[in-house]
Amino acid sequence: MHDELPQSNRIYPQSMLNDTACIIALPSASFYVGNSGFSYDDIVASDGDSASLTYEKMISQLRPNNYLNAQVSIPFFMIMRRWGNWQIAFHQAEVLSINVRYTREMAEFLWYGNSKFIGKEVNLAPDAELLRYYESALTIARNVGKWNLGASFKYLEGVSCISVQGNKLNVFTEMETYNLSINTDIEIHQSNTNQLARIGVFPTSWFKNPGFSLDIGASRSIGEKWRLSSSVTNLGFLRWRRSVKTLRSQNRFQFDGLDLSSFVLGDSLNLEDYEDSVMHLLSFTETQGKFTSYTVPRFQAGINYLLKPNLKVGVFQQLQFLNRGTQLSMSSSLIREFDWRAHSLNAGIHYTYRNRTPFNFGLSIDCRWRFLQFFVMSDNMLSWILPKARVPLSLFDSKSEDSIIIPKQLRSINFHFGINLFLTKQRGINS
Amino acid sequence: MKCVLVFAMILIVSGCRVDDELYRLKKTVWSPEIAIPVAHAKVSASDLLSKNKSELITLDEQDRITLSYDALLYSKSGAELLVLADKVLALIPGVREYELPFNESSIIEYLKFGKGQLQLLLEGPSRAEIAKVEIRISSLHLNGVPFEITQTNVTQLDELFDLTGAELFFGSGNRISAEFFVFNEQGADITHNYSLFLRFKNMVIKQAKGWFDNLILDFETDTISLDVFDNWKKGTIYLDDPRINISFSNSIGIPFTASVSTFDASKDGQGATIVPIDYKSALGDSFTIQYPSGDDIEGYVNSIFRLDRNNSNIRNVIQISPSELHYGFNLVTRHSQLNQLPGTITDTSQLKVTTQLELPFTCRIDNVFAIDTISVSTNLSSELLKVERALMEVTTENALPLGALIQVYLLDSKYNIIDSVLTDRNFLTAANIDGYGFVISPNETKTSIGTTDQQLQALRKTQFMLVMAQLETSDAGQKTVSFQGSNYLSVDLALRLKYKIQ
Repeated sequence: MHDELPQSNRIYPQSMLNDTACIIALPSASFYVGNSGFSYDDIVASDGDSASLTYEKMISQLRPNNYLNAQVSIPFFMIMRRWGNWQIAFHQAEVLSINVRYTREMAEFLWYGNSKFIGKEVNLAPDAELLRYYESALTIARNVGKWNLGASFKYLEGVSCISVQGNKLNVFTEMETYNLSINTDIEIHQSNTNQLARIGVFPTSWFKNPGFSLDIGASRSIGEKWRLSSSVTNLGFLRWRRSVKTLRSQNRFQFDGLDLSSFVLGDSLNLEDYEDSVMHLLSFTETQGKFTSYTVPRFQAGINYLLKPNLKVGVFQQLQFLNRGTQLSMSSSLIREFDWRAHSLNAGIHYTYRNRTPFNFGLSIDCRWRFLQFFVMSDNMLSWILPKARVPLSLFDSKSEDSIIIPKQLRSINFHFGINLFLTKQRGINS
Repeated sequence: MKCVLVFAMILIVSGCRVDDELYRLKKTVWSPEIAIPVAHAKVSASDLLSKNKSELITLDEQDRITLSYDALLYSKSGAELLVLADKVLALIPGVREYELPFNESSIIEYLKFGKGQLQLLLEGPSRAEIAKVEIRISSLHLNGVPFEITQTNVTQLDELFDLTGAELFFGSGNRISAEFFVFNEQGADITHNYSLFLRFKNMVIKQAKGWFDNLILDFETDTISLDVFDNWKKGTIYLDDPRINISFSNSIGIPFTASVSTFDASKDGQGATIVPIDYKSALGDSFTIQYPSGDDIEGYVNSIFRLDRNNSNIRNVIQISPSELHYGFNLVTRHSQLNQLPGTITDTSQLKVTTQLELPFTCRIDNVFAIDTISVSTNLSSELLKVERALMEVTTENALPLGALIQVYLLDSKYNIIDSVLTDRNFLTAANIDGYGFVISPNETKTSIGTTDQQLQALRKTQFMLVMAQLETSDAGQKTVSFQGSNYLSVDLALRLKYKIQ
């Protein structure tokens, strides 16, 4: 994101306007979907008019841990004001955060069967956290010499949650006898699951599922041309208290084959015990207690260098702390500023390594005309250019007649856009 | 610059393309390979040998197994021997003793009635003259008192008396004492004009004492089915010491003499092979069955006769793996007044004849074939169409002193052999034994059985499986071993199956 945009304070809370100024951001949108495991082309082979699924190729692309992430953020508004060395901003936004971890072992187990895992324990339970919440953030930044320091205090109001925790669905196949041991230890926390996809609705009630989150950051200028920035964001939690439900499965099933000892001796075979055990294994106990879910913390760091007064290069890296792993993305950018009369335009090109895909070339433009600023950007413009496929949702839900369009070769799509109103003549943010 | 624009245009145009290929998705063939435990079993030697549960398992002090087949051949109660038809005695004036024969060859001293009736019927020329009748049966005691009645002004004498609990004491020659007198109104004895009939009716005897000779007991030939050899074809089982115990339990207080009417073994129950059992050394032409005497009339006295390898050919008979033993006895009482004391029979006394075949499983088995046929589920054929590859892992732990070479034949609906799955695979290696033939350690065998495409094709047509096992005891069947209760066989079957699912 351009440092010049007020919205950059969601990455670096220490970002400050250049001078005493006031900005109001109108509703905007930020959208990201990524799958670190595989792209469409890795699982679908086109054969003229038809297609076939290539699971082996897909599995070969997987890493031990793979992540399916989606983040949709809709800031309803933001107001930012700077007085001298102090700056205060307040914003409200709605966030849909989806983080699912799946393993290569899971895919291999399902596709190749358990023969591949004889003598080895496989965990087939995915980690998943799907959160929808509102955030109301108060961000305070201060300039101290060459340092900019900032912190954002966010009150979170949970709307909907599905959180799979304590996830263990271990399957062990013994050598030689192939005896199967299955252990489950799974907790699925739920709250208002029917509200999960209803994004874009302004909150009507507060303090039902409260939470808190903290962003902190610091920047330092080195000379006239260098600037170093770093921040830690989204250190927070949500306490779910309303319409909560927890499903728990904590069972053990051992299958050594049918015991034919009595059958050999002429008695009838009793399968009821096995059926009961399997049914018990798959059974969940339901409770209705409060639970806590956690937001996904992120660490950001970046360096900008001013090549010319109107040309800037930078590198940026973001580390997401997901359940049982981290996800790193790195990008570099070149941003050129164009001035034309009283108007200005910043245009940037970006290269990002994310989800183990090197082909993420992005563009960004922010354009200011008098008091109005418009911006649009995407880390992956190729996603809009390269071939796409229409995926019928009936593949996953037989009743659905809808479809989605996804790029064939890419593993992530993102874009941001929005409009800001400048209530003073100030041009932008200094870091 | 033009090249860049052309390149950009190509990218944009190609980027506008949205493929609908997923709407025409081909069926995906899923071929997972699953590894599952199919079955496991651990069965003891006792369980295996008594699979059909028609036999008893006993263990001796050295834990050795003996199979026993018991059969109750015959049971006769005293009540069945003490059946008496109605008897009529015609009393003659002036005669006091009358013979009341029990049967032709028995001499009775005493009878006690459980039930019965005595009818007194006086017949003569004129009833009107009778003023008084006196009847005395001193041999018959009712309520412990000799039977005696006097009736006056009799117009018709036809009386019925209950004999429940009554006792009848006989004199020599099955004789009882009875007399009657008839008087007219003047007191004159007019007995000579009359006859008195004593009719003993509906008699149920509770106890009898005397000499009961030449009573022949009804017998039917009995059979013991030996299912332990059912599936064993060909070859020989050398059981070391099989034996037959014939037991007579007798509480009937008279002596019996028994003789064998039938004693042989047959194979397949069809009489195709019948081997006579040589019993003469053990039983002779006839043998005497002991009986309780004196006051101990309710106690049983057992007479046990044993046929074993020393006094019969039973060991050779068992070597043919018979399916049935047939046997029968003739029983007749030998009870003479000349040289024997009187005996007592009660209605509750019994004579039971039981026969027991004991097969101690101390044996050697050489080249015996066990054969069984298994019906294959019709669903299996359709399921097998989806199988691309199969591998069965068989793990056995054999603590039996018995090994097996197993072969499985695949049969079609007409029992024609299509293919074989195993070819003389040594699934079961007999356990290691000591010098006395006892198991000292089990043998573990792991076998992987893969299936060829041809076998899979054959399996799809299979309706029956013929399982044939060639069995032999440790040391190639040349050494006698003992099967013990603690011997066992443990089998684990596991399967790796590559499946094709669309």
